[in-house]
Amino acid sequence: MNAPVSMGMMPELSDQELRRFGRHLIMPEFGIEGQRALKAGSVLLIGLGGLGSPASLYLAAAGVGRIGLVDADVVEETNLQRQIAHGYKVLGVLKNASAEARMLDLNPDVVIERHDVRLNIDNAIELISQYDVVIDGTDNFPTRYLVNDTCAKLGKPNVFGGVLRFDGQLSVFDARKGPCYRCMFPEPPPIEFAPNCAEAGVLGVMPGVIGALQATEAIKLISGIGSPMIGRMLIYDGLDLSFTTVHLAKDENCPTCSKAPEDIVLQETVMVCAAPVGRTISGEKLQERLAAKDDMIVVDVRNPSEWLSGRIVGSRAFSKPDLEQALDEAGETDLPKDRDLILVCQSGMRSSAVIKSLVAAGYQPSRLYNLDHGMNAWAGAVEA
Amino acid sequence: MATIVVPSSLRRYTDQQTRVTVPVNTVEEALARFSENSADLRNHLFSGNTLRKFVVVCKNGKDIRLLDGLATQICNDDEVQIIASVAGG
Repeated sequence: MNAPVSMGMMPELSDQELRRFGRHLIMPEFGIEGQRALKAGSVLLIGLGGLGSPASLYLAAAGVGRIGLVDADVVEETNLQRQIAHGYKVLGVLKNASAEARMLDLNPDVVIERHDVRLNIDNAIELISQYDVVIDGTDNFPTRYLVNDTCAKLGKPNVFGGVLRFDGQLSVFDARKGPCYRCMFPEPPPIEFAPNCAEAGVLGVMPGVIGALQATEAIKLISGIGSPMIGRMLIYDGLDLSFTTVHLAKDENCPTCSKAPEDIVLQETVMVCAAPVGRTISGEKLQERLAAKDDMIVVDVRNPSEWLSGRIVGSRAFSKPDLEQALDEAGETDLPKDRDLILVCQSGMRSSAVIKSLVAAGYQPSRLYNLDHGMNAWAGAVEA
Repeated sequence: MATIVVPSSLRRYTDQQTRVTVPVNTVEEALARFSENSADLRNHLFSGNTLRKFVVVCKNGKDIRLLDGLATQICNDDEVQIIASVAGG
């Protein structure tokens, strides 16, 4: 059994609470001490959406004494496919206000502290420092990293939940006792690999399952029962209906939790596109190399019609779709790997993507050049 | 021989198969074989030859960073799990 998070004075239970929580009190592992610990405890719930909906209701129903809610959004119709704390009667109402009403209906004794703001770098420490346990019910990577880093700095357990499509993940990141979120995922994915629920979809019940499990972990942490998911992550596959637990590594070089708490500096996490790979060549430099008859191949990845309308003298046409098809089907192209390749398109975007594909297929990035701004900026000779 | 457990976000590369069996000896070979037919998939998992920082790979439920990393040996009946971070809520 773990020590309860909150070791403050344990409040007594009223007659009404003794009746309401009878099914908790009857369990010897939990008992009246567990219930009193819950009443003395506090949880900050960040996000009152898909995850926060079930978590908020179960925390209130279970008798957590003080619950902070952080959300600045209002209820929209598209939320109702999964955000079951809300409903049609509260469209346009702040999610915090909607959840507060439902929670107080379940348990009028719970103290609810609404923070109708978005968590940000300026308010994170003040908000999180007031509570024993944090539940991360947010829906984006920058806020998740901010929650993680703040919890690591303040020594708070962070009950993490994430969902997308038919996948769910759950863990407890407590940097004092195990890995933090950055130990597992040091950086967020580039934007092109990081669709959110609005873009990729989510089965409505997925956050219901994971949010309820987050509430379970928070209740365990406060009451001191069981084994929290520290150092482990639960992977829920809704299509297979499988639950798998994996064991996570604490990173000795973690950019967050390898530092002393006072040295952890909160920073904005900026989502970026995947870093460009390969090299860039200017139009002027390419003209010089053409004039010097350097050993290289200029590959124009535009469509045939674009190529025919005007191309760099001596360039070879190999459209992006044809090139990617060759890579997909054969894993290679007839482009040599031991010569410099200058990739050209109209603006530099398609050629940049082709370079990534070529690198993934085993081409040396140092041999691949993207013509900066493509044909739009080309001032050299053109044939048609 | 090992079985790769494919998360739903990557199943478009496997005809929606949840498990793919590959005849290999290390995690690195397993992932190489798994992604050999799709540059997109390879790019999703690797930056150059390094596993991307938003992807965790486990052997039989244990983060390979707790084992020998990509060089972790695998044999029959071993499971290789790919976990990509998801942020939806």
